[in-house]
Amino acid sequence: MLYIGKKFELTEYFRSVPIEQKAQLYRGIRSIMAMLVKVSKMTEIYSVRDKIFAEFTETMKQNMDLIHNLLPFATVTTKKVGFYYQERKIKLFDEGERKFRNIFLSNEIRELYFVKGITPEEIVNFFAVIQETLNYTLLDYDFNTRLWDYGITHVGTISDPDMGDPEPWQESWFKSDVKPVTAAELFSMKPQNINELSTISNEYSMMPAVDMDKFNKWAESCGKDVVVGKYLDKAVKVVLAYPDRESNKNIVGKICEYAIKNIQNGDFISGFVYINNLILLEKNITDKKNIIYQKVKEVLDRVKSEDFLNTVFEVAYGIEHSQIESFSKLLNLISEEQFETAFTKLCELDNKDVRLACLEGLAKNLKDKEVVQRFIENPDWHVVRNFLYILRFAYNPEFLPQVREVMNHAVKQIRIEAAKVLSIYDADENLEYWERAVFCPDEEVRILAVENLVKVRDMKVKSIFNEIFKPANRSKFNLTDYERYMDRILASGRNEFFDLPGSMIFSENRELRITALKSLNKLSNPSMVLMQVKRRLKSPEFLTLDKEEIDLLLGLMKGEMITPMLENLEFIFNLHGNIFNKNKYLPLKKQVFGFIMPRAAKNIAMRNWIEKGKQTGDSETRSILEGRI
Amino acid sequence: MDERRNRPEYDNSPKKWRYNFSKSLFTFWKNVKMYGDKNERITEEITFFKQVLDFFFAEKDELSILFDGIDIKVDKVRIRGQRQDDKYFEDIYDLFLSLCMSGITFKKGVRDDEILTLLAVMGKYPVGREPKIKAYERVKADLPPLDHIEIYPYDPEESGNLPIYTPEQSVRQIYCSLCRDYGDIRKMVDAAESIPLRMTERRVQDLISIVSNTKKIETIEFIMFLASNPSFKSSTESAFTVSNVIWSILVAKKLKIDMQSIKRIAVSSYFQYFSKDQEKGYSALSRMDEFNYDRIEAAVNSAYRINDFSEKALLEDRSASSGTLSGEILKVVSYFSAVTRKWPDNSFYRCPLMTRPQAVRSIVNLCTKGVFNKEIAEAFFSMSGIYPIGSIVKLFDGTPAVVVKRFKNFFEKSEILLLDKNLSVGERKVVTAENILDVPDSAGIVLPESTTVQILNTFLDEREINNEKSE
Repeated sequence: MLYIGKKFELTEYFRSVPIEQKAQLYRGIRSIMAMLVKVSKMTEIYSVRDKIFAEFTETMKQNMDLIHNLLPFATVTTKKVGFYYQERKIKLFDEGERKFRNIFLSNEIRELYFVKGITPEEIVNFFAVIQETLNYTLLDYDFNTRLWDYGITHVGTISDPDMGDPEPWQESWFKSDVKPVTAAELFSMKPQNINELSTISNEYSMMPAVDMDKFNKWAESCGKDVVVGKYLDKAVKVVLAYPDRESNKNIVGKICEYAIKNIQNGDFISGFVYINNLILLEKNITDKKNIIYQKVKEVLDRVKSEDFLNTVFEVAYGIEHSQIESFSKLLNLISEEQFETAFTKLCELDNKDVRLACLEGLAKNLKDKEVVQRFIENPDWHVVRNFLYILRFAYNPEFLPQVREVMNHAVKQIRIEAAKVLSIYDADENLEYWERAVFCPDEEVRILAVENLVKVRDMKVKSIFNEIFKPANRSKFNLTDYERYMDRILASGRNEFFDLPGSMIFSENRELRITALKSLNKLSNPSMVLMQVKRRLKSPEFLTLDKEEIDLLLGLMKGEMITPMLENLEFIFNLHGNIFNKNKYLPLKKQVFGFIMPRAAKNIAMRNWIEKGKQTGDSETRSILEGRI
Repeated sequence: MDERRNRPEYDNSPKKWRYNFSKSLFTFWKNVKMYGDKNERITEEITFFKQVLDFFFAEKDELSILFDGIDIKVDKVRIRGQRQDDKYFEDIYDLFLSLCMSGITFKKGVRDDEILTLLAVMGKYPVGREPKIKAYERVKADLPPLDHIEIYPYDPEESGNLPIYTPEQSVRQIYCSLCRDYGDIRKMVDAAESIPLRMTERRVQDLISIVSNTKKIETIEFIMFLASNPSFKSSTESAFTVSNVIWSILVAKKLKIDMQSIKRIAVSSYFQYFSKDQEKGYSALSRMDEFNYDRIEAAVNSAYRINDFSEKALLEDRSASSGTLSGEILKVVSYFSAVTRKWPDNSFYRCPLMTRPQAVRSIVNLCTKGVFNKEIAEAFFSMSGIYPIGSIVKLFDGTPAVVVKRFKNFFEKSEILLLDKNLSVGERKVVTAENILDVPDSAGIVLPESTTVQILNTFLDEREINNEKSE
């Protein structure tokens, strides 16, 4: 991608710059070339996405930076007998050197440049270019075009087509079958009428207004993938129209090849597009003896094979996020026939996002109860947990016994995962498991149990909740548990359970009362606990509650709760202490009035209640309501 | 086994004959070495060898076999791979290496005795792997002067010390190569061979680099003038194709499309019309050696292309392009390139003949009717201006001239090259478009070759002109 003008400058640059630190530069270049030779050998065995190349990339970047601190360009000359730096041969005692050098010679490359600013990503892509040009020498891969395709701007070459002695234009090149115009003919031709100019000028103003934003969006939407899609649409049509035609064998051969190569190169998105077209061909070619059909079948069988599965996982290391969906779809396809191998491989995958997405995809192909039994009993708890994750997406009541089996597994993660799986099934059918799970030592399982119990239609479940809230069982749960349980019960919208959190506002334990009130406060309409609230307001304990609890109680005064709660608070209009402590309830009254007064402006019931207080209340009440104290 | 190459459709495949040539040369040399130069085998060999040469001499004056230390090239094309039953490849390498010879050229009219003499001298020396300059010198000394054969030495240390082209020289190189290759590629397709994409890709990407990086507007004007060239070596088709390549790059660049996509669009435009048989074209591009999106895009665009550029046809079939970004760009640029060229009556292309300014107006007009994408048409128009470079115009006094700088509108000044009474290039004149007039009858005319060369030389870089003068 290096611009020819830049190449021109580079050569001039090297001719004019005296290299003071020549030895140091030579050593730097030599270490880069030695590493590239090593990399070229490694690319024959591993994909450049393999983690083995991460270290090479880092070291290479460091070496380049060292050189680029001295000179903005590192350059290597390739001759038939070796690599040279500033006319000095770079001695590389590595048998792979010759093969590596041949890449450059066969691509007619004379100079290789590493320009300052090279990024690690470019280095990895550069390794990919080496891999392609080295390992597919019989194909038409070209070093220069691959550098361009990867968008590598800091590695450039000077190759034979960039060089030569300028030759003058030759007249013979511009011969035409049309006889050249003669001077007489040209001079005799009439120009257009000058009066037409104004008409023409107007024509240009007819050009419709452009909308570049809209255009750019459209251009983006018809990128590479759309073109490939069109190519394949056409290819499938052509092939299906003439499945016996010789040229179509080649097209299908290429679709097959691209499907495999894309996947081997870690491009699962494109790979899967090709595979889908092969599936289409397999379905639509009726003659099963047809060579194209057989070829397609052979490739699809290969894709579903264990060997290919291993390849797929080799390139899946470091997979990009955008590729996950297609990778998952591909695994889904492979796992139709290789479920157990695919699953086992997935369990070994470090990348959690990829693993989970793919496990979900695999669920479709899980049909065998025996497979479930086998994996559920696996001694490695990681395997069991991953398998249970699949079961979350593989609804099949036949698998339930195996899931129930591990509800009490020794490993916490498995118990949690099993509870999650059980959650997708009918809660009534698993009531006894959820009843037990409520007292499980794992917080997550307990929550899941409550979430499922509120779905149970059988009223037996109420006794289970009663059991939870029994004072004797309080030590088994912490306050957060209770808060969550109450939240879940209240969120279920089942009134028959609401008396449970309602009754908690009378608990002897203050913290529990506060927790219950907090949960009730989260409801937009807490009217289902009105009876309990009314009782609480009238109770003698109400007068002894602390500020926070009273605030939480008053906080329930919303919607249908307002009028009955106000009625039950009228007693405070004339509430006062004894003769020795007449102002005993002044703080309580101030708190209650202080809560209601600001809201009275918007609520008529509250406004009336305040007026009533002024009229019927004692002097203390009036003083508060009139703002005197 | 029925070898593909033995089928009748491969009879005229240059690829097959290039293989035949390299093999025949080797077996011929071997037989001369083993049996001497006068016996029955040699008569057979020479008959076959001459037959191979005659295939190439039908169109060329000479044929070379070259060795660059890595590859064998016959007729400048690398012989890749080898046939299943041929084991002679390594031996040819060894032969050239040991004689330190980089190539042999056979010229039209070569005689049997010349060929025999050459092979006899070559056969005198042992074949090893170490290249030694002396080996070549010995062969050279033993050879009598041959009128129709030339041999070249091989320099094991050769590193390409030729000067690097300036951007303008590189443009010229790219333009000529793209035009020259076009005919060869069409033959390859007819001979059911794979299309060698990489050289086209390289040239196209170098051209994109130049268009993207040059800071000299003159370089772009030079490129635009080349796009206006009606014919290259009597081939309107190749000039039309390269014109499409240039315009597609300019338009895509103007639309700020990314570099990889520009390359795909430009490669597509090169291959869009290379086979008149749509199915054949699609198949040929699908017959790929390598994994390459350029080729896929080219296949798609060759499957959807327009050859009837009449307004009626365009209005009736507005979706004639592939509907992709490249397809829509190629629709505009191929329209412009096609209607501004004069095609034979029985041509594949059916289109009205227009001058360049008329063609630009027609694009604007068709754009209002929804034939062309308006953003692409606008990008094209902003590059071409109202009088595209290469337009033949006249001053009010009747002096003909060629537009050499873009006229953005009627009021801004730009430049024309006046043509004198002999159609030689005269003064470069700065005028506004108000002062020049289109010449409707000049549609499709071809300027004399000498005029074209003179105009081209006005664009060249100063360094190059000096260079040529000194030569």
